[in-house]
Amino acid sequence: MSSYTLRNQIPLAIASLILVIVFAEYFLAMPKAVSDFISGLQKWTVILSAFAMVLSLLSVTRIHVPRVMKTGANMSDRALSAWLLVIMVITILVGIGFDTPSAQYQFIFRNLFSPLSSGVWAIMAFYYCGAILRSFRARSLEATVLVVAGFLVVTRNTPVISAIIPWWESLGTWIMNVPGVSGMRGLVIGVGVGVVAMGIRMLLQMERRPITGEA
Amino acid sequence: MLQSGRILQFVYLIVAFAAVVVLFELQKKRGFLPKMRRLAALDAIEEVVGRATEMGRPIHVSPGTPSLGESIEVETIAGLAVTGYVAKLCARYGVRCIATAFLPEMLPIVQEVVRQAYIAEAKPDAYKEEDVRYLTDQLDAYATAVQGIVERENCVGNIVVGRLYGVSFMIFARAAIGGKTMNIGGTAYYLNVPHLVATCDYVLIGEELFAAEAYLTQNPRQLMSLFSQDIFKFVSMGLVVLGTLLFLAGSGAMVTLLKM
Repeated sequence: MSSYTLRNQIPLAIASLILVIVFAEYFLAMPKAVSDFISGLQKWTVILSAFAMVLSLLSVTRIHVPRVMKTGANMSDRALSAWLLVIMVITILVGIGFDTPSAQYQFIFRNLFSPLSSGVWAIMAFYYCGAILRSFRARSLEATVLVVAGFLVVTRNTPVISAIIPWWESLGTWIMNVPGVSGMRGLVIGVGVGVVAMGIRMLLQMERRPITGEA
Repeated sequence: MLQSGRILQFVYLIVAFAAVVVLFELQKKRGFLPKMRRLAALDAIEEVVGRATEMGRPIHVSPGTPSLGESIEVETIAGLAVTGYVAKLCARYGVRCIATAFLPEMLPIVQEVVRQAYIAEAKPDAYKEEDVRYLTDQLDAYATAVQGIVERENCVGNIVVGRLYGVSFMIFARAAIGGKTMNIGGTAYYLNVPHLVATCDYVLIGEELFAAEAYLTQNPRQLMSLFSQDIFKFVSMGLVVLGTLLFLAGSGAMVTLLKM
């Protein structure tokens, strides 16, 4: 059997077969054995994800170990990579040794992950405001509409403006509920149709990239 | 026996299948090909790679941040098409392509997509496994890690197209301020579209995402499938108008039909 058949044809055939079974199970009233088989497939996904996790750990190790060992490299990069590897190993060992709901594992989560996460959020908020200021410039008709609508919606909750102009709040709410929601629904319908078309392309093997890597 | 409540979905699917096949046959017999409007975000990819070639700096690319549990989604598949295209251009022009994966199970897929792109450009030796990286499956940590890569590696472009849920728009925030990196984002997740508009130079919105592969490859089969997608969009719009009119006239026929 050629390498092409092994790498491409067989995975495609398996994927097509599974797709047909899952489709049939969704639309047709099938025997319980078939439904059980489909539920079993979800367990297979979990097992495959576990294998992928091992690959991911190897990927992280492969990138950061050489960086730590590299002499002459930036010291801060080396230190950060070493720190990442140490924390990763400790977290894995604590997770395996004590299980994830344990007090030890939760200690790491509460005292390392959560504060870092909050810190990142706090820093990002400033960057995000800067990005908004940069992009919200009325350079074209579309951008002007965006800026005006944004201004109306943001200021609708301002008590001072609402006190001076009583209909201001209603206008902001109308923008949210009428043009905003209808635009969003148009987007959702378009996406829904796009998803169906994409699914058909996958069933007809026009989109094979996730399986074979080829277009 | 068809399950009740899914009959209309089944009919829709069969008709959509038939439409794709008929349009494909039409293309084969008459050589008919629909014209696509320009998508600035996809056109800009070549510009970014060109800039990276001139400056000798890398590009970061990612097929998005699919939500845990939903695993590989349709948007991610569209994102993989863009990832493959970017990797191909990078291989062609000798630009370093740093690709990152959000979920562990996406890593082998991204590795394969990038490797195939290098093979397609007859440069398999230029493919570096250490440039296709798994970072984390925590959203804010991933966004921070990507920003770190973009900053440290001095990337010219930050191209993230695919499922971008939650706070994943933060991937673009730092680069949006510096002005040294061109941000190209794309998602069909409507709640994140305004954030992408605020932080990216070019954006693929909604269904434009699913047109990416056809647009980039100009493959006739995919273009015809896209054409059928547009026909169904018009049919959906017609059904919305018809349903509204029927409802205003006091008839619940459309609701009954959709519940079939």
